[in-house]
Amino acid sequence: MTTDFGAKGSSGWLAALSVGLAIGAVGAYALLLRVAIVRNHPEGYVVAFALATALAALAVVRARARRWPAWLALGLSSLLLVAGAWFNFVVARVPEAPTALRVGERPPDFTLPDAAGRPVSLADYRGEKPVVLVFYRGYW
Amino acid sequence: MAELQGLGAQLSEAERAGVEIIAVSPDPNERSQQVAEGLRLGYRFLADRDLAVTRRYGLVHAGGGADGQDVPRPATVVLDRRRPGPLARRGYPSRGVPAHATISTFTERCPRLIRYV
Repeated sequence: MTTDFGAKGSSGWLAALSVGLAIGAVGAYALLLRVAIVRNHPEGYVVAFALATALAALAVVRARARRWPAWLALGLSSLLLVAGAWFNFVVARVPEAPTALRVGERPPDFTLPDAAGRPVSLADYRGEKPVVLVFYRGYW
Repeated sequence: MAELQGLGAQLSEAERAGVEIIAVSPDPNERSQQVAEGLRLGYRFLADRDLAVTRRYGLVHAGGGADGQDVPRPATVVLDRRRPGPLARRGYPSRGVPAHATISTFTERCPRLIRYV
């Protein structure tokens, strides 16, 4: 009687590697958001999920007995791949606004309260310093 | 939030370059202050509660909120202190400037900005 310990053992390692890569990608993106290369390439976690899925698929193929770890890894990595791709390529994409201010147009002046309630006017900065206006979604 | 944090990390560079960073959202002042303190962001947060200013900049995503309310489109507008209009406008999907650009990226892509500083 022979037992192919090699294939079963490698399947386990592949499944573990797949899970580690998938979970690691989530953690790395969350923890390393301040690092420019991570911040500027959010699609990186989708690539990591795709690699994890491929590893898990290989684990399923190579498994002989006790296939559930490989299938579990495949399920987890596939789920993260679909969710990550949907978030990165669908949710994070906002349709272009044809009415948005164009480069070269004069920006509308405004006065809005800051966090302390003090009024802040854009006109105060004209001729003084360049301004980077960041409009974010809010409602957190 | 990633963009806010990204710009926060560049605040010292922005200050050295003489650039003012201002964040605008419909959140009330108290909520903005919590966000600023929680993320340890040193730049100004302004409250555009009725989206009037956001609307004038053409950056409202009609019905884009979870409850169907109008919400701002995430966008960054770079204003030169001398030129009448913005040097660059960037939103999702990004056009020429990465979605999470640093101040260095802005200054690289907008050479006229750094010349006036």
